[in-house]
Amino acid sequence: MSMTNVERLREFARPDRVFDFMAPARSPVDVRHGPILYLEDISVSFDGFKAIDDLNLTIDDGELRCIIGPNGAGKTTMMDIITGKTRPDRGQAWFGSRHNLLQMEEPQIANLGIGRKFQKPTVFEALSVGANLELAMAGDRRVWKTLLARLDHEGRERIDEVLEIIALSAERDRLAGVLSHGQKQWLEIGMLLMQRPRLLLVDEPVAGMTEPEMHRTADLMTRLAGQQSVVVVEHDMGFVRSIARTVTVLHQGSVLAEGSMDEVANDPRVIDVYLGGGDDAADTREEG
Amino acid sequence: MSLATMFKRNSLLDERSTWITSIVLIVGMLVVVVLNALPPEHAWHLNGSVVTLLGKYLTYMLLALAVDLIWGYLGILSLGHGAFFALGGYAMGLYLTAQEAPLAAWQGVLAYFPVAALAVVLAPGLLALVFGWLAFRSRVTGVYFSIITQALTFALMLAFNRNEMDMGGSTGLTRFDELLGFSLSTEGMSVALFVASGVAVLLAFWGCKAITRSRLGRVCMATRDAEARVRFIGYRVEHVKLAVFVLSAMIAGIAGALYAPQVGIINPSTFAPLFSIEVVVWVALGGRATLYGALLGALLVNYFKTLLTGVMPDAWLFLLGGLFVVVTMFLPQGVAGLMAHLRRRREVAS
Repeated sequence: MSMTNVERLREFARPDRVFDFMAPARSPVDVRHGPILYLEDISVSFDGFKAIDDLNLTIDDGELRCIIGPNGAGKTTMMDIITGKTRPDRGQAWFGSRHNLLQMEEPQIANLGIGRKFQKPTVFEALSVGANLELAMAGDRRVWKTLLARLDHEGRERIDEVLEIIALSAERDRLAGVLSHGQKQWLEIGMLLMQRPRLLLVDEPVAGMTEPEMHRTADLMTRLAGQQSVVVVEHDMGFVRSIARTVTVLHQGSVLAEGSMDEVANDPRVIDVYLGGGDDAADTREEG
Repeated sequence: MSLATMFKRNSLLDERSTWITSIVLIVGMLVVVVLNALPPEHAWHLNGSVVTLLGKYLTYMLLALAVDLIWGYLGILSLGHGAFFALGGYAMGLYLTAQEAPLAAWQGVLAYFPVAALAVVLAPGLLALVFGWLAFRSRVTGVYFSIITQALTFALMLAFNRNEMDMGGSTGLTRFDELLGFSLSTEGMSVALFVASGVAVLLAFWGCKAITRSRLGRVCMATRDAEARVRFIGYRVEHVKLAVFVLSAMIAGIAGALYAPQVGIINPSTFAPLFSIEVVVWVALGGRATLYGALLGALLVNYFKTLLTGVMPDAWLFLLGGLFVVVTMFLPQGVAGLMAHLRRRREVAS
């Protein structure tokens, strides 16, 4: 039975009604009309050196993307631009179809849902593992609210959940400074998860990890994709091969090739600048 | 001993240090008051001038607490905190002067105690707000920030030296006789000011402790250790810094306001860059990021200063400098760190 017009009007005018566009969404990012991350013609140079040169990149919602490229290819600079640390000389960077990243500052971008893991693991060493996660937990970040904030039941459960995922449940009360290198990497990934990001930027997650740790990380990355978009920058070709669906090769600040690992690995240009070159370190690692 | 239990023990120790510090402060204050109340001919009688001297130490301890809050927990090394202390002192000094003779035009409002009391926190607070906003917004950190705080306090010293400021010029403000209608020269007033200073130290200590144990306190420590990371998880670092810096300046202002009537003078030398550096030495010597370390450091250094400047005044600065070098090299955690270390050793041994 359909509603009469009066009923429809009454429903519309209900005082407790919250219109969809007014309701605070978990994340305000609009991905209905396209990718979650859209970079167009980005260029930036430092003292005449072109770190990024006409870079175009799109990441779809829920995608797991690996970005590879030799040192100095502009991988970290690209992350700096996306997270608001560096401003490009020209180009556009959009998060969803509504948010212009080039007009926002780091905290705004972070609160919007872009989480970043640094190349060198940076955790708060003087704080416990649990406190590290607590600080990263999504919530009101204003000074006064932070002063009065108490860890509620829900938050504690969320921390337990993430501790489980990053396999640090037993280390909850230990200082982050005493963790092993690999554990710090995981803790940092855990902090990103606490933020409930829509897009995770992960810079060299397996640097300094042992073989089993690396497998666990690969596993973690694949599980994360789907719930959120993940961009992994990595040197380790074995690791990239184990998780990659789509690989983007950066070279001298722009995209050289894009496709599946096999396509990319067989691309003559890629072989030429990156995988080839005879005694290139990346090559030996790929073989090993 | 596993690291997990060590961490638990450390947080427990932290808790215990709060209790011990509070009890020592309260008992110390009571002892001073009781000893002062003994008849003057009694061997243990503490006369008013000693009480005032101890009261002055308390205001220094309050100032050290303010410095530790931003240096120990937030990693901001202010070498100009004397400026906020002095501003609080001048606000109180102008009120005291107004009890004797009318002030120059705009200062007239300070003749009313509530206005003066407000100015004690607002003057340093506003200066810190403007200065901090400019500095933190431009992401001035580390040694650059320290240098501009030195410049700030030096500039203020030059300004307050000018007679045109109507602040007593280079002599400063000295004609203090009455506070709230009570004469400042009585022994009762000495005790009252001493107790007021002690209560201020206690309240500020608890307040700072509450802040450092809150989530905001953890954000501060996180900012101290990895500022970029804090930004990337979404905190506005400059707002956090500004809020704590302003609070710290206000505490310093209160300390200055309690200092002026006890010492009986406030002059531009309080703005001297050297004084602000000395405050930092107190905190470093006592131990950073513990709060009680700052209190201890301020008390110890100033007690020895009083002792030594009586015996050989020329040697004091050399000794202070030497002490700073020794502490930096051998006791990076200060006296507080040494005490914690000894306690741990004893616990491991037993």
